[in-house]
Amino acid sequence: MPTQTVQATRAGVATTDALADLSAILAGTQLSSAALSALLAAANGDVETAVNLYFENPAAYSSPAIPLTDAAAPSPLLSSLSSHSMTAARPSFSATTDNANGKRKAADTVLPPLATAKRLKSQSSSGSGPSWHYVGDIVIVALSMVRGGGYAKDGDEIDTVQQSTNAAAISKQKPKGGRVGAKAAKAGPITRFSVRGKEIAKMNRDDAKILGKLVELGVIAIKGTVVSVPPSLTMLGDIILQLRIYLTPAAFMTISSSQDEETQDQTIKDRKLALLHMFQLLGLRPLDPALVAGLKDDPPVADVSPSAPAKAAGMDDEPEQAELEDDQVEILYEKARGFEDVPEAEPRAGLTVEMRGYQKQALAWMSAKENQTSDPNAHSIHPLWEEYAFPGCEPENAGHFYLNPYTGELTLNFPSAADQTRGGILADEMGLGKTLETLSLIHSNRPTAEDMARPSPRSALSGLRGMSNTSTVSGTTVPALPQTRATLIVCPVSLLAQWRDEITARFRPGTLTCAVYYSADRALSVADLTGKKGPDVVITTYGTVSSEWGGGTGEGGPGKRASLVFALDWFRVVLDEAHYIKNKGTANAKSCFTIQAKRRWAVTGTPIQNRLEDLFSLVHFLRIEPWGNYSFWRQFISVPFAAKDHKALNVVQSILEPLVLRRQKSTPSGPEGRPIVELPPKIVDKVLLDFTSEERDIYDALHTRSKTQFSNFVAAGSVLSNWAHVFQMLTRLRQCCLHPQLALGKGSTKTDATIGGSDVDALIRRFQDGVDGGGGSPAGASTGSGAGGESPYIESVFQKLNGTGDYGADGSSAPANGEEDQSCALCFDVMATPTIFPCLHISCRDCIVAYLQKREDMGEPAQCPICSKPFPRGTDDLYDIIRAPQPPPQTAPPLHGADAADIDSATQQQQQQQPRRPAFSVRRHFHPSTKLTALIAELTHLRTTAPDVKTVVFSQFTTMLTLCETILQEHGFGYARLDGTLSQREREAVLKRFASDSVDEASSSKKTDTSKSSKCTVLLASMRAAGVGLNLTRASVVICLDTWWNLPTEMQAIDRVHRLGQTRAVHVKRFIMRDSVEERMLDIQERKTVLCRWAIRDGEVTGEGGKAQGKEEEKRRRVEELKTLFG
Amino acid sequence: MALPKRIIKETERLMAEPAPGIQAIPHDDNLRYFDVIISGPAQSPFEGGDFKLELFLPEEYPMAPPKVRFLTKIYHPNIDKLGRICLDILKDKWSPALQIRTVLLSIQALLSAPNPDDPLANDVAQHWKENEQDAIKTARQWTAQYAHA
Repeated sequence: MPTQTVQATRAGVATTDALADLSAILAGTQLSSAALSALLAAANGDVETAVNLYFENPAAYSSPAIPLTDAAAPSPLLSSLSSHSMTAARPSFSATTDNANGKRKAADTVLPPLATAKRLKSQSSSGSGPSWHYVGDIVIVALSMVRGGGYAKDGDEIDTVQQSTNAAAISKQKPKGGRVGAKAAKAGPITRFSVRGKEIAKMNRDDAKILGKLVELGVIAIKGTVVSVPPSLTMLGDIILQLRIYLTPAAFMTISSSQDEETQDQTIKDRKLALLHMFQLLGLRPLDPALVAGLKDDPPVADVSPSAPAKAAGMDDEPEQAELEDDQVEILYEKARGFEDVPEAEPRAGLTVEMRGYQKQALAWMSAKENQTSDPNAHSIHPLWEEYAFPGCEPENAGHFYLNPYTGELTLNFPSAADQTRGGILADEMGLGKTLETLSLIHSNRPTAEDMARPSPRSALSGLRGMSNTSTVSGTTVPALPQTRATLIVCPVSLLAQWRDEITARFRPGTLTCAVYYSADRALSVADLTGKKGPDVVITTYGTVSSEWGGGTGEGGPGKRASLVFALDWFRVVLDEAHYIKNKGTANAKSCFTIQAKRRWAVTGTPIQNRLEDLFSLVHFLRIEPWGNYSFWRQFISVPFAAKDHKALNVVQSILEPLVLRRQKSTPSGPEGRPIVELPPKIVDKVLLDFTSEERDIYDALHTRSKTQFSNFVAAGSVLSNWAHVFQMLTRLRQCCLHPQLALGKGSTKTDATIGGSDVDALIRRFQDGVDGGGGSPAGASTGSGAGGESPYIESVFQKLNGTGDYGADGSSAPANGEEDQSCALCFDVMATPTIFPCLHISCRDCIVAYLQKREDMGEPAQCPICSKPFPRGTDDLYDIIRAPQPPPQTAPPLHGADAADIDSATQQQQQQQPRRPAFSVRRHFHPSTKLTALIAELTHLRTTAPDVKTVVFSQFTTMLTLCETILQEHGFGYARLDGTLSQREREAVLKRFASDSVDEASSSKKTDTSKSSKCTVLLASMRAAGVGLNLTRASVVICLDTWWNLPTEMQAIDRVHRLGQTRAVHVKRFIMRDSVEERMLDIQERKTVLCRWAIRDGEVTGEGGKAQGKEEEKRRRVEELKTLFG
Repeated sequence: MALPKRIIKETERLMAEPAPGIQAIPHDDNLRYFDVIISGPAQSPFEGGDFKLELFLPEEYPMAPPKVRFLTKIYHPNIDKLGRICLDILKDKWSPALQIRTVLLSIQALLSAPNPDDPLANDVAQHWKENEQDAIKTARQWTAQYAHA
């Protein structure tokens, strides 16, 4: 019986031989080795008797004390053994003898005794280099490649030959060998065995997949002995070989990164699978299996078996990145909530503000996360690694080696759990003070000498590539980066200033120093930061990080050395608004992954936006094992989730639980269970406005046209293919609700100003000439510029406009020219909306427009009614004369936004230097809309009733903001404007200006900019530009000029005002035009339907048919929504 | 319908500071309707005559010109038998910047300087061109005959 022979040879000792034999026969009976020994003893060492004994009374020999935790798939080795030698094979041999008992004792018992190994080792020591590590023996059945006898005898040493070398020598086998060889590229290499240089056998395919592959990869080396060879060989007959397996030095190196990512990924996977399988064959058991939260029932070994190719193949498919339902997102956070039991920690002295209780809790939690494993003596193994003992006791084999079963990495160095980067995700809801919490951590948890003694673990992964914590494998080859005690904060550009100001405002000078590393301010050097006097905090932006990261070449490239971010081993890195890296493929994400730091934090109010993948990026950044490994993540989270296996959510929950701190404003705390933050109330009013009849006409015309067009699309069934057009029509309707001018296309004064710019400038100059001249000769100064003989008239114009500066309703104070000059030349009345023509004649706007209209009706060109000078551009040649506002005396002219396009800005700025302030200015004609009028009414009301209240005005349309500027200027409001066109500096200036005069906040920050003394009470903000992170708590009134498709976006913008630090009740007014597209948008909002959700949720449908149906359904619903909108 | 402020103002000014040789008085029952008397300018064939006109301000005034007509018969190449006046500012050259006063002054000027090249009364214009002295004589006769109320 061949098996008996094999086992006998392998064990070398008679009793062990019998025991092994018995265990093979009784495989699958779940008997422990102890039970087997007992059985054998009862049968006086006779295997056959023992088997009979067992089957007579199985229960008597079962050993329930040892639990069976694993049901491994059949091993190919045993299958092959049994298939040809044992008809009564029990394929789960390994399960019975090895896996049934996770303890090392089992391995000791079943494995070849150390003595045997020693013998084998000494036999082969000549052939193995000193750094080869013997890991065990495997007995295999090889297939004969020769016929006849005399090629080999039992006990011959054999050598392994990789397939290609001597293939030609065996002519008869060549076709077959060729076929297999062709397959080898895919199925794995063929390894042959030779005796005295003559190839006589090859591995069967299953063995080749494992051992051959590893030989090919250079991970192992094989020495062998012939155990049993029949006297006369037949083709493909069995030859029993004993193989001694050695791990080569290469096994402990990082896998080559020269290949492209895909190949490398595959290589890593192949290597992992083969290694794990070989370990199984060798019966090597970890001393303490890797423990991974949530996966104890699902060890990755289950996937290793070649018999599960389908599952393995499934891993290759990029999983559908299914979206999460909102309620699912909330479920994910469930376990991350409820921190009532976390103690509070007092921050280190130096803060100028008292932290709130829950903020102190955050500090305690974050400190704990950073310090948890800081005990250097703690000899606990990294949770992902398994420790193995080398079988054998030679000095070079003494000790252990370590395997990461999830990546297949091997190392001889102890992978300490302490090497894990420390940190987590601070995910408190917006407004709870994440910034302060983070800063208090930086301030309170400073690096100790001990922290600085060890470099942070380096990650060899470039971008996302698989191997985690490779430093333990190859760490010695990469020079360590200089360490710094500083914390690097990476944030969006818009928040740069806020971080800096927060530090300045919340900490006493000198307690927490910071430097900004951004664009032109990149003055910091590595030396600055490694020295004693380096700043505690360096603030930079995602853009800076990704630009320094450059083209993404492997780490340590020469280009990167020039950078600061990547040239240092930071003490701590903090990503603010960390969802900026949610897409793992972006440069933002990849570059942040590469930052070296001992402690890593992700700060974001929304760690998961809508995909589980969002979280992966954060976990990867934090280097949380094993989840930071994408293939791992994909296998256990993405794929199951895409397959509707909601266990994936549980896994994510358990990942998040220790990792995330998330509280909401409403999170109850304290004995009374009151919300942790009690903000002043927020009152949201919907203000329904009615179009003027003029606006209504325009709106209706536009609406009718759009609706007709839309109906055509509906009739043709092409609504969705014309989506862009439909969307544009909707946008125009919405614009029309703001101001018809916007919808009619000649909206922005900006473009107008460029068309007629030079004329306008000339006009302004002429006005200024007049003003400058003063007294009696202003006209003389300006006669050269084209008004010709009308100079006396111009003079009177100046006197009228400038001399008294008051042609108010009483119209009384005309100095010289009598009442006539106070009035319109056409209606003789006091000019309500004074308008000036290019020829400098003036009249009421209505009068001149009516006149020009009349001329147009008669087919005559526009001209001045007084001097008949033609107006080439008709009414566009008319300019409004704006009296300087007469508000509080200390108020300077309104400050203009960075892009102030209004033509009078030059006038005013220049005239500002004049001792006498101008009483008027000129600008392109401007007609307020209902919303603008309502806005001014609202603001004017506030100015009189609550002068200290500041207002934020939101709109989606920057053109509308421009119109707002015009009307705010007219009414003398100090304002600032925030939109996407501003540079970071400008944004800072705007925000500072808006927050200034605030008694509590900006006062402590050094503010040298006193040039603008006007009190800024209104902030015009585009909803998008103000959407992130900004703190606008100085305002307590919010006016939303328009509405957005989904309410949350709008509410998020509003929450910039209604957030921590707000002391007043916040009043929100949403201006809505009655009976318009806006009102219908509200209807849809209220039905909680999110519009414009074009990404179809694949997660909602299953299968192709279902998917198609789902799409149809989605389409239908979308068209319905659009129909609603068009009314 | 309320009278536009402009008409009121113009009327007030016409009454308060009448232009020399021009008198315009609105009807009590229709303030848009004026009785006008223009004195014939000195050194003109119409000297010594007081010419009655009627002036009506239409609804569109001042966007549209006032309607003015001689009631007194006058021998003038630019004024026809019915008293209609050929004056550009009363037609296409009208501008809302003009007023009753300026219109009447223009008419007064027209009396001083007849323009037979742009006639309204063709026979009179012909007469004026062929024999100006004779035409002026006729004009004087008509002034004496019709304009001495």
